[in-house]
Amino acid sequence: MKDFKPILKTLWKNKTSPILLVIQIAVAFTILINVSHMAVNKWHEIHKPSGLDEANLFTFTANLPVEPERYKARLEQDFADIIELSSVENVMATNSIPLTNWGLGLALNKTESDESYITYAGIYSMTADFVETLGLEVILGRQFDQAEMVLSSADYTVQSSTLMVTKAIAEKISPEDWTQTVGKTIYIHGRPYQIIGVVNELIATWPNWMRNERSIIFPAYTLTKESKFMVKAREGQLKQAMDEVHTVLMRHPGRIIDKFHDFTHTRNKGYKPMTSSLIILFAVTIGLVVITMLGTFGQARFAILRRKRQIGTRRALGATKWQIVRYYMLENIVITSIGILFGAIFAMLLNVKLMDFFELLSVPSEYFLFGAVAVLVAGQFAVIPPALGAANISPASATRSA
Amino acid sequence: MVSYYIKLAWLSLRKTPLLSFLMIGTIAIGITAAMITVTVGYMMAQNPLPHKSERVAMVHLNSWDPTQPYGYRRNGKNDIPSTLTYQDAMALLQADKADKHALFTQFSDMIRAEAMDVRDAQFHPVRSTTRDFFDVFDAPFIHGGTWSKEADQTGEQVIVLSKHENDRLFGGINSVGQDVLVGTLLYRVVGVIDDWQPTPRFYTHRYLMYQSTLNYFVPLESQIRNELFSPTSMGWSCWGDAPSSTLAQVLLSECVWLYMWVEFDTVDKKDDYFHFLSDYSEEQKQVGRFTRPEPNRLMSVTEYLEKEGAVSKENIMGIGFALAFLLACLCNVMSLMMTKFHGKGGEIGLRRAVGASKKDIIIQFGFELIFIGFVGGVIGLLLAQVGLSVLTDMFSNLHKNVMTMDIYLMVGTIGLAMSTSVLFGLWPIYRASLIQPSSQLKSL
Amino acid sequence: MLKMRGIAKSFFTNTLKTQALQPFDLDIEQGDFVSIVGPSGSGKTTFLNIAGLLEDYSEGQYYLGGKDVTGLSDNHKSSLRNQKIGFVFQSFNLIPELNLFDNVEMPLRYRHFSSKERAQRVHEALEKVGLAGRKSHYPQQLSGGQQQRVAITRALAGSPSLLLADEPTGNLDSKMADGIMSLLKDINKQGTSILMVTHDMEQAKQASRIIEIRDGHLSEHQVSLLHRD
Repeated sequence: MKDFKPILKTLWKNKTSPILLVIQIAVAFTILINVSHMAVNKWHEIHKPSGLDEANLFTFTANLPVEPERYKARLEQDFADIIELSSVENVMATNSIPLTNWGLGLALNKTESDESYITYAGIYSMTADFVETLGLEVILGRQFDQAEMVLSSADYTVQSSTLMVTKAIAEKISPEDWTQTVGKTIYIHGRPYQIIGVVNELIATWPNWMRNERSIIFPAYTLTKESKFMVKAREGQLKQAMDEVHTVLMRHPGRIIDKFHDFTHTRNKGYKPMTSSLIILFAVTIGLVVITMLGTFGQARFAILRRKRQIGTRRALGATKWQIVRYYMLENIVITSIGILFGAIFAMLLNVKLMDFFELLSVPSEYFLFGAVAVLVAGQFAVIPPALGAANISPASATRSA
Repeated sequence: MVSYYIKLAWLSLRKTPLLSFLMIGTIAIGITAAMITVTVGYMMAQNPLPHKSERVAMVHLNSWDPTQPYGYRRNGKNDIPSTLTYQDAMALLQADKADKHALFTQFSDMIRAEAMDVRDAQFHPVRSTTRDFFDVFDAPFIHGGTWSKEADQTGEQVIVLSKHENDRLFGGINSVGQDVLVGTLLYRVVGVIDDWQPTPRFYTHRYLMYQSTLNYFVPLESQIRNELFSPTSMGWSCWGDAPSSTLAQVLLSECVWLYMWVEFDTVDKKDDYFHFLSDYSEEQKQVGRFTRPEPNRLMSVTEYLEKEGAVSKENIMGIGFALAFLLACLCNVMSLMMTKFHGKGGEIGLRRAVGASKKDIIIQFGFELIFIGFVGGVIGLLLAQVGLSVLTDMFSNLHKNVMTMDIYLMVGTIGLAMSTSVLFGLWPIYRASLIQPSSQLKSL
Repeated sequence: MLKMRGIAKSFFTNTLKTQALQPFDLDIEQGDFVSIVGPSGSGKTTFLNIAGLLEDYSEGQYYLGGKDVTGLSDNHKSSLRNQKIGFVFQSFNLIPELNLFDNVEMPLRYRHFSSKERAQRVHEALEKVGLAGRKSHYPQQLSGGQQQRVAITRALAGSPSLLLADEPTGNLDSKMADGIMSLLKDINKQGTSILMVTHDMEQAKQASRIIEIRDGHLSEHQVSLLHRD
């Protein structure tokens, strides 16, 4: 620590380049904190469980090439044709397919009035067997029974009086004890619905909605000219099941099948913009660290170049190599710490601004800690090569003209 | 003298390759990051109809559910739908109070040229609209033109193709008069439009603003008469108990699903039109509709883009971070410049001794900085092109127009690199010009 | 052509005033060849820097070509250096990344001659020292003696009336040094005044006047007297 004072003095004498480095570190630290926080959030979003048996699922949209009055019969026959295939375990139709960005969201209320808003929820209306097909886990209450499950041309919100919710919704309805949710009544568009069961997880259709773990399921399915199918293949027979289902359905004249994909594709496609953003955030983080290290490296080299003679003199007077290296490492810690200090202040100010502007969560304090450690370590790594160079300056250079 | 200074700059950069490489590389990286984000932000913020963005406006009517609002705006206030019910859209269209009307939605079907094999049919989204659509949104025709007024009224089976699909179906010939099969229906080609991609594609929903334009256009009335309906891919919202499983039911329902834009010959007609909309709301109130309190909206192109947030917040933040990153890079470069000029003390002393003034020294190093900035800018421009093409792949949901630099951005890139290099070099240069010649001449 | 009256130089380090040069008067006529001798640190280089307008003096008047240069602007001094004074240094101070032509041309650049005139002058100057054929060579391809010839050529390219040489042979062996000395004498014979710092007495004696600086005091010695010793 006895080096401390001379370090401060020397830095103060030649301010420009340490100040530049401080600015660089402050900027880098500010961005680093915010960007890594965003990256971690995105990472969690992308890796949120969907609740689905994704490996064995595939989905598609198909028309019902018949008159409206025969939609129901056609759909039931299609189900029968598909389930008969040995490669298929189960099949269902849904108003919207998870993670495809197309579906309905509605506000849930505690009472008839929209003042008693609970949350916004992704809405599913599905046909029988959806629990088995999707691989959902009913953790409380019961599934819909056969009598509740309806196929009709009326809208599903008016056909049903019961619904199932995800655990995330249950936690919003009864924050104190979500297990009390079953049996409660909630209101949508002023109409009451009784909650009869809770599924562990079922992701809504919008990958980029932060609250997409909040979904509800209606037991009624509205028949239209087109249906969205979800099929569960038997273990290991996905490819075969996809081929066979396609063939079976295409036997009907006028049939159109679109968006025929396995669920892995759907997930990748749905999350592609977010994955891309994540990659960019990572690249930015790495770029920042590298630039900061380059800056540190350059500054140290410059400082050493200037003080070559002084270092030689110190060596001649008996300073060990380690003492020289230590001096520059310590100097770097001083500069970096000042940079981090300013950066932390910026980061907090920026974060307040960002929260106003982007409704983001504020960056937790551990990011400041980890960020500071990361920047300090990076700085030390960057300063070692020039510091070793300094240590290798020959004591004889003190006597040569500078 | 200019060529002399450029030569000196070149020689000086060559003399310290590592330092030059670091300076140029750092500028290039900073410029790359800045320009990639700026490009995306700038292209997203383009005015897609600059000559008439205030005369073209979108109609939003508050026909929504009395029990709860349609949604909430970013400021927390209640929102109203940005699409119309069929009955309202038809009423406005028939009143004919604006100079041009573009009413539209979409459906999807299998499409092929009549002469093509059934297996070559492709599933495509089709824009169903009114004849003014092309005129209002400036879509350029290369063959034929839009359909007639009668076609709009009688739902004639006529179609306009994009150049891209005209190439696929007809090998690029003038296909006007040829037949196209939409599902099982014969549609006669009346026009072909050239490649056309307004950026942003402002006339739809914000999630769709950076997607490609559709390739087929038919009269809305023909969609309705033929019951062409794609409930699982079009954007629509419903409330109330009325059934909505067939198109015929949707026409009678309170579902909102039709986008409506109007064009006026002069901007001042907009106020009259807004009054007309208010009067229409009042009439509807008499029959028990339009009971919500929020007012209707008549939004110009720029107002609508503003409301929908054409430039995403993430983007603005990205630009902010990238500019901060550029600042860090420039500080780094400034530090390297100090090193560089420090090493040139001897040369400065010598030049001063043989008669160079401070100004001569400043000009000489200024040229060096301009040179560094230029090279850094050119490399940054190239890297930004690479970065943008990577982004185009990564964000395939966005049209590539958003990630393409125009000539202003390209020139701006190099200009930014050069001006920031010089700006951040002023201090090092000033310091260098202060070097006392006498102190440097003993050693070089 | 050079007249100094009461010139003195002092500077302050912390609170200590150091008198680098005590007040002195000096006159140098056109065609003089003056050696400056004295121990290290006595103020020789400071004197030379003052004479060359590279350093300011604390007191006194300095007339160069009859004109008082005291208090002239930096720009003005630059252009005076460019037109009237040539410098030769112990370590040659050639710019390594420039070839011989560019090195010699440098002072002419700052005088805004046309490129044709520059080329002609450089060529003539290099021819005089026998290096015209090596115009496009770089300094490090030459011997020390050749480098110093180039440096002298550079000093002369702008036809100055005063040549300042700071230990021009300090980095050369005696054979090369002799060559440089005879070159300087030739230049002097053609009318250019020379002020040369040296600590080789033999060389000093070849000049027409000798000035000794000791602890900041200037004193002139008679060359003829020294010859007699």
